[in-house]
Amino acid sequence: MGYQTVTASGQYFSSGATFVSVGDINGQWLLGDVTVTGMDPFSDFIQFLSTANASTILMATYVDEATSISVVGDTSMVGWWDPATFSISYDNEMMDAGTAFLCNFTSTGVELLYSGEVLVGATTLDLSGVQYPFVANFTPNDLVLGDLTATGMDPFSDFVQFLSTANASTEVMATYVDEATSISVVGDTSMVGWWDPATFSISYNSQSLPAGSAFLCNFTSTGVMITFPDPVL
Amino acid sequence: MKKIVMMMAVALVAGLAQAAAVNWSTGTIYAPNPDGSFGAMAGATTGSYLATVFFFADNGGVAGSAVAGLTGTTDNSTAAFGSALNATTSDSFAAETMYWAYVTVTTLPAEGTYYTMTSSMVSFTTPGTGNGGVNFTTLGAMPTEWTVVPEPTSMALLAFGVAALGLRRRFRK
Repeated sequence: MGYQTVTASGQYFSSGATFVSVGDINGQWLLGDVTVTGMDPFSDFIQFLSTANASTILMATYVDEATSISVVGDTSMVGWWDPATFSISYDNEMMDAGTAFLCNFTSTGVELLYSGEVLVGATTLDLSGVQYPFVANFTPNDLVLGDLTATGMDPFSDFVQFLSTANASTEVMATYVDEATSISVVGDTSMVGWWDPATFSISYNSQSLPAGSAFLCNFTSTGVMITFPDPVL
Repeated sequence: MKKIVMMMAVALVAGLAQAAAVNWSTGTIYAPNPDGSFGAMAGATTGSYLATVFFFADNGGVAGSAVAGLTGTTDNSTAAFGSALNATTSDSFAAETMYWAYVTVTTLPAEGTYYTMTSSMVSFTTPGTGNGGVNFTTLGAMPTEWTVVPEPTSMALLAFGVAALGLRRRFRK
């Protein structure tokens, strides 16, 4: 068991839990296990995106202890709430390991505290049948994109996007060339890895993927799987 | 270079442009004192109010035409937090686009005096992905005082007085 603090580096920080819930056999994490400091529940929120069209399907904001006491006089409001009404609690929302969310923080220096168990062993995320999965580095280790391998990804139609923390627009696009594709196109394995999908002239194997950071996928292929390395090796 | 050209020959890349909703908030609202200044935090125990937001498209750096169908209202009579907030529909705003908005808030007393306040107009830009957010307090748009709204009888007398003044001027000509 352990915990880790991830600091939002901008208004539209992309993130996800670096631990799964203690004892959860399905490797999922609970939103209620995530605590936050520095978040204004009246202006800051997080968004879970639809895997079908990347629109927002769930918005949540965090009420910390000090805010709860100042507003309602006790700690009964501490936790995750629907920011439009504060009448729906999202503390019991369970997410698959690697599920990311998009922040919208006008406050600066917001810290997300992730706690639970490390998902041990190399873990493959089955992203079959979804076009826009939002994938987080769910390990507590800082990785680079080259640490991840993909199968079922068509480098000519599928890609991942790193979003700008300033405006949530796409900052970096990368696609994965697997061994079979590399051999079939260029005759050897020299192209295996992550590349700029527009020109295939820029390698993104060294693209930074810190613990708890995330990228948004755009897949037209229906059988994509992405494998993360064993965090304890 | 040859390998790159071979890869590029079959490459096709599509972008992602999403419509978005906007989550808006007045920030904390304080109940009115008799002189129009702010009193205690308005919440479940201190009365309710109605907040209405008006959204406009950008027109060269100023507010342009109204964005149709985007008036959001909140009756906060049962909410635990003293803040008016709501979310617009998910397909109302284009991504990475500037818009303008202002909010009006009116108290809803069971009886007695009504108060109102109107924020200044503020601009905001929707993000490339996901929903946007507008907090009128964070943006410095909320006023520091309430304005007393004349009750209907007073309004009628005021209207009658204005009309009488106009008639008197016409008769003088």
